[in-house]
Amino acid sequence: MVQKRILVVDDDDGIREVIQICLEAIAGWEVIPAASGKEALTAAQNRKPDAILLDVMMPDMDGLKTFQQLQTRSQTELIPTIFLTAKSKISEQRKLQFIGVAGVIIKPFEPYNLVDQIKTILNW
Amino acid sequence: MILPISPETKINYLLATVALKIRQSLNLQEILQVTVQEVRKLLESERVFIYQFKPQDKSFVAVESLSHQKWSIIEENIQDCIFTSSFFPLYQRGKVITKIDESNYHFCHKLHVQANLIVPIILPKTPRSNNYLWGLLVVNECSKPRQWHKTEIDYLKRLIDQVAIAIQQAELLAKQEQKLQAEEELRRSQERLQLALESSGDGLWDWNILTDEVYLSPQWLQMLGYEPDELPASYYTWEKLIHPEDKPWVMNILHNHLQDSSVPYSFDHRLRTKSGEWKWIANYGKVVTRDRHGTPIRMVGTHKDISSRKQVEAELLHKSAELAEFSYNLKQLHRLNTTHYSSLKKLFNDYLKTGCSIFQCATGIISRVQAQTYTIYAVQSEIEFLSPNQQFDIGTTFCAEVVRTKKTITYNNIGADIKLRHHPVYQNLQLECYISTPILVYGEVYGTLNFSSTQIRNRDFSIHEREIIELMAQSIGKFIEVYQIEIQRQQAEIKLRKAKEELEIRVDRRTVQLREANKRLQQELQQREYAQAALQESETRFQTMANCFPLLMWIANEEGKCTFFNKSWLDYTGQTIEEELGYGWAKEVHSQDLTKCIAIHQESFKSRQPFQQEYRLRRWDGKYRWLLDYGTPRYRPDGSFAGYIGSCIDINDRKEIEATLQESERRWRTLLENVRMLVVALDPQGNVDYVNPYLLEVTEYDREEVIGQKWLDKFIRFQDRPEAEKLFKKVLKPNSCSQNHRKVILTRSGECKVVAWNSTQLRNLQGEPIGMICIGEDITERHAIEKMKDEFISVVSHELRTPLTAVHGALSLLVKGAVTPESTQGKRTLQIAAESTERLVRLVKDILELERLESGNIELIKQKVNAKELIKQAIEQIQFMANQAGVHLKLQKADVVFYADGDRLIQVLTNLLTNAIKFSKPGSSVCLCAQSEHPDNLEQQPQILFVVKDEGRGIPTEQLESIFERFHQVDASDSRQKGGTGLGLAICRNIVEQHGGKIWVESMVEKGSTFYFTIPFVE
Repeated sequence: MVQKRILVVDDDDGIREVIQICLEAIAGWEVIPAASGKEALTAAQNRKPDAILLDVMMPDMDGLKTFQQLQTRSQTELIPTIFLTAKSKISEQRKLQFIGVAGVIIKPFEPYNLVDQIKTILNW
Repeated sequence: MILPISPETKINYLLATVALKIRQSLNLQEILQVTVQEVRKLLESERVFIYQFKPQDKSFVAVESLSHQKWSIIEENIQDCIFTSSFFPLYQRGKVITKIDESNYHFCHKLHVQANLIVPIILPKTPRSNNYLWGLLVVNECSKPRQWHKTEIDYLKRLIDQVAIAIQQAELLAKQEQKLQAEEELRRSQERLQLALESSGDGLWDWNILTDEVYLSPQWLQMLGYEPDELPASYYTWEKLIHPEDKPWVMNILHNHLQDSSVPYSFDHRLRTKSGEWKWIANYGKVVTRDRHGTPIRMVGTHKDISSRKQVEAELLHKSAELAEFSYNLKQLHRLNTTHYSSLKKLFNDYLKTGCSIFQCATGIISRVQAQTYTIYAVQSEIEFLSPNQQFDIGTTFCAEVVRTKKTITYNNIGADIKLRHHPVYQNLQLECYISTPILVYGEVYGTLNFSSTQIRNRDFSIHEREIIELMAQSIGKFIEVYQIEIQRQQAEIKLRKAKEELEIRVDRRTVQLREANKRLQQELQQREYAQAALQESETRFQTMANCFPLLMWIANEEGKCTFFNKSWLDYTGQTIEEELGYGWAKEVHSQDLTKCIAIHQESFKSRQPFQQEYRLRRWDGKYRWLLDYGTPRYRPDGSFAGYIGSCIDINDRKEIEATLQESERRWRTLLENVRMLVVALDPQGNVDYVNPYLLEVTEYDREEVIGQKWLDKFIRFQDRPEAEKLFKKVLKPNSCSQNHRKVILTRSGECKVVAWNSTQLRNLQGEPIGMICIGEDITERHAIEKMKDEFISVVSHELRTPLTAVHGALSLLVKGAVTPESTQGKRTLQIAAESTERLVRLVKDILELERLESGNIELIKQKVNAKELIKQAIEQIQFMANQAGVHLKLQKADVVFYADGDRLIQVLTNLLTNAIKFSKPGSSVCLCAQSEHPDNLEQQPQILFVVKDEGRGIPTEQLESIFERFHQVDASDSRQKGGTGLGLAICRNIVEQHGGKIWVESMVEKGSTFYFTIPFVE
């Protein structure tokens, strides 16, 4: 199987590192970390990841804005994007699904399930 | 000869053939089947299928066409990103996809796809819907790769356009069939309902609004006198039968109910029966079916015959009108009875004139009947040939019957009466109505009082009208009696005078006859005594009459002393006439009213004007009751003033009702004027009728600026007006309930106030809506607090969840063995868990601390403290951190003693110092000093000022205030990078404010910030 490359975007260092360790250790994927929406846009364009894991609540440019930016660029518009959110209300999750993201993962997550969840959403 | 055909023409030909085949069918499955077959045949591919999109993951393979059965996928649950929503934007733009790579794992490996061509099927726009992505046409090669030719792709795109149209038509047809089925279902449920309702006895109707067909039950028709099936089963059958006066509002209610089922459809209306009469019918109905757009489809209801109830209602109404008229007529009668007439002729004319107006008759006659002769005594008429002294044979008048029976008779609509219409009176004068009563003098018929008119009355003469004419005839009779006595007296006087003259002549000429004459004189004198006795008797008669009068009556002489009270008065007061005479009656008048009462009495006697006054009079049972007293001056036949005659009516009940109403009004007004709620009343046009002072206070307007203004224009924001208008109309509808709603209103300065309103209809006596009253509570602050609380909870939950996620994730990785603790990754994982745990602990501690401070659960332990000591302890705590950061601490110790909670102040200082160090570059310095301030102004307290100054990056001006709020750092990401919780400054502010001090900051971006706080020496 080809090694997957995943862009992980979260402003919280702790969470981002945990996800990185988790994806590397369990799934053996390559992880590109990004601490903000801006970093994410540059990384998505330059490194062509297979998927993007995007935190919703971030200062300055939040997950939604970042996603909209990704959609407007031809190099990044087809990269499947999964939202990470601490919002647990069903109505808010549904709102995210309607804008065309591949899926939503709720924080806090179980590291083992995280890999499975990503695989299920992306049909890997 | 075969002509060479260009590839373009060939394709067009093929396209036309296939399109024709497809368009021949209206069955969806058939269309799809033909499509895939034809496409596969044409492209000679191994698999062609159509994938149809359905909501909620129910998309599926609709049809397939295969070169070999082994390629079948129709049962397959295809899970490939190519069929998920992430590709929708591309498909919706009509993009054809041929790309296939490793990312389409399922597609390549499970379905053995080696070459792929996907064309989206987009249904064209219709008046009801926009164009939308219906499905995909997919062409696969499974045993070998293949390059797709451009003409092939073009061909497919054009074919799919045709297929899309065919699908759309097929779907429309299917929908149409579903609709027919639904109508059939509707019809069956109608039948069931009818069976259930027809046993109730009421008329039943069931209206199919789409077709305007109405089922009218046999009872419905019978109620109006029709046989079953006699009228067409149409909506217009009913509409045509409605009374024209009822039709506009009935149509209005129907319209409103069709729009909105919450508007009740229940009312009484008149319908025309087969015989042409109007019948009152109660109609109650309801829309029972609406389609998914809310359009009404079916409405059912019942009819109930309520004619008898309506008749009773009408009679009651009529009775009360009659009573009102009767009491007015009694007043007229009182006027007639108390007016002094200089001649009988004037009296008769006034009676006839008043009578004509009371009975609404053009002609009034007082007649004298002697034997068979009917003589007109006085007449008031438009008929010219009727004049006083005219004589008729009694047989030719309607009065014959009156004289014979000595009773009142009334006729109405004589022209319709078979017996009476041949009567000579009707033949000559066409009198249609007639009321007549005998005038009795000394118990004998003297003549008649009658009124007549050529107009037919809308109702027969009532019992009250008979009473009125009888009372009038009684009065006339009495007056004639008195008049006759007067005549006799005058005749007696004339005789006496003549006798005197004769006597003188006789004395002169025939003294011898003196004795005889004397004797005769004696006789004449005796006669005169008789006449005076007769006069005396007339006085007695008047008193008898007055005693029968139902009102309280009194008579006073020219000096103002009362000389007579009728029986009603004496019964009322329970006194004897002797006790009341003169000014005796005044002792029954209430002490508070007496002075005024006597004053008016005496004043009127001086001016000789009619008067009217109200006072309280003690009744026989000791209770004081309000009377209305009318007094009229009396004159003797010679024109000299004779005193007053008066009559009184008990108006106590009316007064009590007035007082109750006034008190009720006063209470409500006091309540409205003082209540701390907003109150406004609007008229039906939406203009302000009333506002209470609190509303003016909140909106900062003066009353004059608001009254009469349009409420919507003045107080409601432009964007809220349509909704407010809708609500207003709803409240104004008949029988509406009160409405609770939350609205923003604008004050004079344009500020928005959130108000929780309750709006209720205002009604008049008849229950008709005449406006709206709204009572509201200003919940602006409550609203703002609720919003702030929600925001805070949302922020806190995010702040807590973030470190928790890291801790949980890290520990989970270690526990499940994904990383080993000894590895580099493992060590880092442990470190993340520790750091995040620490942050979580700090955050929880700070939140609890702040919560305790804000709720006032922490008591400050105030002691004598020295600023020098506080600074020393604070420095000890942060010295290590400063050294780590390479920041130099500068101190200025002040020896100031004051009262404060030392530990808390150290907390503030370390907090400010920590912040200062965190945002300082290595090599820069942080300054801390304290000094006491003794202001010149005695009103200000002496206080100590602490200053923490850094050379860090500073704070933008617009955030100088908000940094003291919770979770409000200059840059939110600072909190994590600098390890703060976002609550430190909020805690500082709380501690300082609890000491009665102030905290603030001055700052310049890139130059540094200076935090100040003050603590007063004493409280």
